[in-house]
Amino acid sequence: MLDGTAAQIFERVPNTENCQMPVARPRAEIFREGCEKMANTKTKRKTVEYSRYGYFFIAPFFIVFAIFQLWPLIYTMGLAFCENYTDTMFNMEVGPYFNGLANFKTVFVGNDGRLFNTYTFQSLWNTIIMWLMNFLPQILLALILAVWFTDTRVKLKAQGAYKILTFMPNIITAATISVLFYKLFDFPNGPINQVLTSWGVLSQPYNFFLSKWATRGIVSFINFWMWYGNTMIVLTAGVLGISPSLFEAARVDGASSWQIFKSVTLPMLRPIMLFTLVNSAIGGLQMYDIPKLLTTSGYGDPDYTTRTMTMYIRDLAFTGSKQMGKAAAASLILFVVTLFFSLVLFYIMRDKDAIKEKKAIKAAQKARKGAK
Amino acid sequence: MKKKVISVLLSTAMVASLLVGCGSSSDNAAPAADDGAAAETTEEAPAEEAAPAEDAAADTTASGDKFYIYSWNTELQERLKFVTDAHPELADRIEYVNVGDSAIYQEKIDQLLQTPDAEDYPDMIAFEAGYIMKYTNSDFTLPVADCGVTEADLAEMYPYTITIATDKRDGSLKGVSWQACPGSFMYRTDLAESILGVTSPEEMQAKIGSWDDFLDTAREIKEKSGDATRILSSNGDVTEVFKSNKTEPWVDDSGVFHMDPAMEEYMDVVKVLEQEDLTQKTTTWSDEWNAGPSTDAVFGYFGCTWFLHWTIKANCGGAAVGEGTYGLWNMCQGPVPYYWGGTWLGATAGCSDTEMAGTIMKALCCDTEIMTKMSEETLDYVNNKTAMKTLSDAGKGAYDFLGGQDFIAVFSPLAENVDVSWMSAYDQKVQELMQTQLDAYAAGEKDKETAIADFKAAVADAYPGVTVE
Repeated sequence: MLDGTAAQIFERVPNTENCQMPVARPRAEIFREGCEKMANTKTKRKTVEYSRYGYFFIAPFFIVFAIFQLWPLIYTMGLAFCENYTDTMFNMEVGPYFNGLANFKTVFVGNDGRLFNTYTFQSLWNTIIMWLMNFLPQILLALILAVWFTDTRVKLKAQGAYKILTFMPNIITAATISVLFYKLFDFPNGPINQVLTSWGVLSQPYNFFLSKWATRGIVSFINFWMWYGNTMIVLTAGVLGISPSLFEAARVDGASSWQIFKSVTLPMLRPIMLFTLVNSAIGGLQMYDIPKLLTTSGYGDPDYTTRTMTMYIRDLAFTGSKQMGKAAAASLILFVVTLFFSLVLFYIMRDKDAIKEKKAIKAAQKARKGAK
Repeated sequence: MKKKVISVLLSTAMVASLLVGCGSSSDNAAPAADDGAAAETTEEAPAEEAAPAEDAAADTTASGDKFYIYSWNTELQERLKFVTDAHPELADRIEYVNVGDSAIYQEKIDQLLQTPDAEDYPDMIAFEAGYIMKYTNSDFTLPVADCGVTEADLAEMYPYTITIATDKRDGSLKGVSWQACPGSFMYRTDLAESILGVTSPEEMQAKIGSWDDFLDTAREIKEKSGDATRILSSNGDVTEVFKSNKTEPWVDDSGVFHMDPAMEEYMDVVKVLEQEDLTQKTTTWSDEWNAGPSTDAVFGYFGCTWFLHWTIKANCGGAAVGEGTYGLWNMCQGPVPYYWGGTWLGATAGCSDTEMAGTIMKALCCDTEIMTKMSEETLDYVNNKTAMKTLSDAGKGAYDFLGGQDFIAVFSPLAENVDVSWMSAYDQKVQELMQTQLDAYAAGEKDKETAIADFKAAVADAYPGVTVE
């Protein structure tokens, strides 16, 4: 029943049952005694209890959290089941009246009766597509750079300068970058169009913002460019956290760079990778600033193909009929999708060995108890 | 014990500084929106505010506070100078808040209107034609009669400006405007002569008397100029013309959505302009578009009274005859009569001083003398028939920017005949939804049926209370 490794592990587990350590008396007992003493002698406590000051210090966070995050969260969940919008004709608010799942029905089912054929899911796909388009190249480049920068054999020069340069776009505000790219790809006389026509790549200026893939590509590229420096620095920290002796040992054993990367760096980076992936998934699904500011109308031109989920939720809640109820339902969808993605990532990135180890320990303990 | 006192002091100081931060930022948010020196103003603000407050308390009764007027640009602020010239005592009390962006103006106002007790609750707000009905048909605004504006005060106004601002529910007037905005086609006389051989506005009108003629002329200009000149800068330039030629509103009084035939014609015309490459294909209000009037690349623009001064003249590349394209412009009616925009001013339900609101309205929008002066100085086409007639009779309409053409004489008959039965509270948003589909249709991404179906779906999505069949 026990395999080799499990047995070894088991040996290392301290055997608490047989151990006769000089254990202090249980706390409850001391406490009871203390109470009795106090009741009997009626003396004032000599010691100051510091623990409650700790609660005072963390209280502001919880108060702010409850007012500005927890309550809105609960309120949103409630609104999602209510009819609540403003009638434009007379500018009068309707509701909120409870209307069950009606909001979710309009979120899930399109006018033609087809499931998922709604603006909500269209914007969700847009978000996921644009996130993947920027995230995959971003993590690859960041990983390569992180490995190069930390490689003791390569020893790149002027790393600091390069790190600053790659981090720069992240410091500039999204609004500035959006305007910059909007101008770069301007039609018909933007710099990109001028360069491409003068080089003969294009025979005439091309209106990038009328093509959905060009616009999505630009949005993705901006996000990629803004965030790869950040990801790189996080990953560099992760690689530096790996014990150098592992790399040395691998090198002594004659492992190639690729083998070291595959069998040492990547597995050891797992916790940092998980952090990066989950962070990026949450950030990516909430993408708002670049697509909102890049397109002229701000509604995800052309034809809503760059409208992200958060843009759509904002449009629902604050323009037109101010449909708070439907916007709340769409927000819940976003919440569920984010949760789903995070859980999937946690599952994929789980530490399989650690889980195996735990299972083996449990099994071994059981086996021991059974033997007793 | 000592420690306790110190800790209490410290924590009080911390909380107090937090509260101070909140207070000053909200007080100064509005006036200090544009200068980056918000931090410095917080220190000066109490001193500045204290002085006028005392004065006001001394000479006026309970209403010594500020009178907030909200708008989205500086236009109204400049016009208010004519009011304060006539009523200098109001100058100190008017607190003009420029929201700065007409795209977020409605959101900002909607939030403010929900909080009647707030310090910066608007006393008067400006409306644009695209959404004025949302406010005038609601209880958020006051009838102008409550501010002391009488029927007689409205006599000189162009009828359409009154129709637009009338509450559909009880027929009371909720807002007044100081300008009238009939539209025309503004074109370059030198290009008209060299390309088309046209020498007078009448001849030009004959060339663009209908949409078919307009498109033919557009093709002619493109061909004869050898692609150097296009009739318009952007496809969107025809939008306002078609918009005001709808026969019915987007959403009628019973909440039913209508796709007007004029809008289908609009889609066709834009598609031809796009596919046959008849415009410069810029985006309206972009830098490229704004640069148009100073070059020979654009033949003309559809524009109205304010457009002439604020857009074409401002971008013509000169300030006197001979500089840039100054003096090389003329106006004619174009394919159909239309009107574009305009700003109305109304008092809010919680207006702190209706008498003052009435004074401002009367001075800005009813007083013939002030309005004559305003039109003469700013060349704005004011909402006052007598004023415009006086100026026209006095020959003040001849405008050197238009090569001596009398702009008042062109606009006057147009202003009398503006029909606004097509307007609804939904216009601005619905128009945006339409534009998205139109762009896709014109670019050839969709056929017309799909574009219209998608447009209707978008309207239904944005307005749950509207019936879309």
